[in-house]
Amino acid sequence: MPDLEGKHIVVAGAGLSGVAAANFCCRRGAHVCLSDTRPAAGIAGLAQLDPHIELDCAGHTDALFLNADLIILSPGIPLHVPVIRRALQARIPVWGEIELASRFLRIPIIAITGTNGKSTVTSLCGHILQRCGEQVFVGGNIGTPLIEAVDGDYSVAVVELSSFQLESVASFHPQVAVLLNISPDHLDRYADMPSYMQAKQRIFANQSTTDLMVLNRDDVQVLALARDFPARRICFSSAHVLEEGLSLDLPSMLWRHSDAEYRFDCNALQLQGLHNLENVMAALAACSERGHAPAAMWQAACEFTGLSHRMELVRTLNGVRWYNDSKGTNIGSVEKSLCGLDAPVTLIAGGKDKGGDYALLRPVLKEKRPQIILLGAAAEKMAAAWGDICHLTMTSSMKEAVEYAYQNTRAPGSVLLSPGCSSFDMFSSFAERGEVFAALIQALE
Amino acid sequence: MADKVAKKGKKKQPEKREFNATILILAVTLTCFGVLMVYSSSSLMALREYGDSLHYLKRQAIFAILGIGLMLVTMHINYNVWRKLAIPLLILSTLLLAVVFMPGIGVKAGGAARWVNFAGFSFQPSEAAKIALIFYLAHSATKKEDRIKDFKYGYIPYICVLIVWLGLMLAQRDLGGAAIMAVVTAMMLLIAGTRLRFLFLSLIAFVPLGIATIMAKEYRMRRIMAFLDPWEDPFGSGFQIIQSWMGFGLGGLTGAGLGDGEQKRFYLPEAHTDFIFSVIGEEMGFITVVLLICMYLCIVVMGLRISMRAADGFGRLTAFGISLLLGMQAFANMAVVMGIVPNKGLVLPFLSYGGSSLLCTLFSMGVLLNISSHVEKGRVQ
Repeated sequence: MPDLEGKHIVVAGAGLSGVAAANFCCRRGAHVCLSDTRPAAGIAGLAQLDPHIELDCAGHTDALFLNADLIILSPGIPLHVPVIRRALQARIPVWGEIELASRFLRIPIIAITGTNGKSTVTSLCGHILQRCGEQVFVGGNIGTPLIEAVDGDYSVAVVELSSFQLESVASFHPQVAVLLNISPDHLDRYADMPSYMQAKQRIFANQSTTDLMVLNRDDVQVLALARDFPARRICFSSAHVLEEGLSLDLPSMLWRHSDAEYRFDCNALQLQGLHNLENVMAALAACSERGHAPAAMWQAACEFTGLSHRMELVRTLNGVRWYNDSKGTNIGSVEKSLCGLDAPVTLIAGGKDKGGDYALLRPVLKEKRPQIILLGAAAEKMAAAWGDICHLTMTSSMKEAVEYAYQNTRAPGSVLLSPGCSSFDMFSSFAERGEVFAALIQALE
Repeated sequence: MADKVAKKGKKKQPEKREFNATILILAVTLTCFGVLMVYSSSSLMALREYGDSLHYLKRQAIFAILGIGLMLVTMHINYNVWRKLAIPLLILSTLLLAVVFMPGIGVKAGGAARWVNFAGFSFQPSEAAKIALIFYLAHSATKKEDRIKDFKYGYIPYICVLIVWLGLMLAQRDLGGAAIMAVVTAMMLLIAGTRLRFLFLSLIAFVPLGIATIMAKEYRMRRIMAFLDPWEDPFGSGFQIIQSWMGFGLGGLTGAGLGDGEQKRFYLPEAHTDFIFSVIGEEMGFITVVLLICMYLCIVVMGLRISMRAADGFGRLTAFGISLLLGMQAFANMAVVMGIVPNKGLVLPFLSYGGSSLLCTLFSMGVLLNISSHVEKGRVQ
């Protein structure tokens, strides 16, 4: 366990995890400076900041960074920004908040990453383990920063990791590492697919032969990423019935060990859709390391109702079902959400462009033929990619979009808010976007 | 089929035969299939980069029409014209190969300087130069007749030309093209009657030179290492070949369906040029892959038959050179895409995106077809 007493620590980025990391280091007796490029007034979480922590809004200066003993990097800042590069050259350790936390944590970690479904699997794992009587910490990329787990009384930590968080880990060692799937995302930050995939792969880097990998057997990219790592593996598949691992034999879910076989009825699950069945398989496999009875874990999984803003049924009005999928911030997740719905569908999409390829949605659009309502900064680009397949309507606000959808969607159809973009052009977060959407629907007569 | 036609033709017009219809049909079929696959493999990238998913399709379609037109015209031009033009064409193409290095005209792409800008289109001189070299070798070797066995007359001049050429191609970072041309030259000289020991001698001289060339450039060593174990660097030099394998694996026997491949989307770089065969493997499946290999083999075998029955020595050597060039390029590209030989940046004739390659391949097919329409003088059918 590293000793932070008296060390000069610079925390870069005053986001949720940055503030938590700064407070943690301060409690351990370090001299902490929290650095952010925004003016202090623009930073939300400052009220929680320990008064002993210095705040520097000068914009990540060399003077500050190159004199630090340790830099804690927020996932929002890439490793390749010049000041960080110079710090690394000067052999100053640069850790992410995850790396910091993992050096202090003494409980097993279940780490979950992938392009889509990681929040659902993380929450589901948390739910299952809690029902099985564990003191579970659930956090990471969703909700509570992992560093908060260090001073808590937990038996296991379930942590969702984004590719950004994985960039800045070095010795992070999860007992269970789950890689759900890989599809193009965040290409505004990564130069190309290989570097995005390389970041994801780091989740396996420090695992040993006694650890476990949970892998999606249907995704060749996932299998290739895990190929050369020594940990044991459990695979899950929705396309093939596996000799060993979890697979679907609808309406059953099949779990085969070397010595036992379990069969569960998928209809008992609250979660719906093929992608959710994959999520359940991944969660069961991940939790299996804790030694609970499969039947008890299944029972817990059946109770789980899903996450808000993730294919959440907000209201059924005049036979039209309204879904909030505000957390669908990339094209892969829009694709999965659309697949789960029967036509006619009205899709509301758009937001801040992340540099993804909207043409990837074309096969599903051709199949489902939704009418599409666009809003936000990415609308033009989306219109160019989809205009020849679907009927498009441009709107300037969520209110306008909801009203148009209300007037133009016939029963027994569905309206789906699945933006395929981040929310930062019109809303402060995907949650706010989803709440605005839900409120507008509740107000409809 | 050609036999029947030849027999029928013998009675009335002994020196003329029908064109080899098989090659004609295969060339047109492959070209059209290529346009389709270029569209499938490039549309997403074209939309991303140019805002027009048809960008590469349009260009390839124009080149296909021009190329097929060129082939149809060339097949009616007596191939002896090329014999007369052999020396001027050789000089012209050598100049063009050198022009690539002139600033303002030469264009670099992917680390390789192989293109010349001309009237809005970039043109790759090495493609045309390969055919010019074949004409020259065929012409010169025929002219020399028995002196070809002589070291001074039958060997030294070719080695000099070849060294200049290989130098120019290597300077363009086109090791693959240079290697293929060296083999084509050697094989043509062998057929023309050069003594085997001269060729053996050159082999001994060239192999260390080749190894030194590979060692000299870091990227060449990387490609060789990536070939030996792609998993050594799966996100760097090994990435392309791993993704190519995945394409063939995902395609299985019958393929994922035209346009439905995953690999071309983000994973497979150069999907519409060097690695189009992998996209075909994924979308059309193993059966189509085998069928395509058979089509190339068929053209090569037909070409060699044309060579054996050609009316004169120039026709014989030219047909041989063209068939060998096509066969070797196709084989080399497929082998690269399947990870059997190291990546050398070679396109697949007929199928890969690229105007220069398509026009030159179809032109060479036109010449081959014309040779097929002439019967050997005095040959007893």
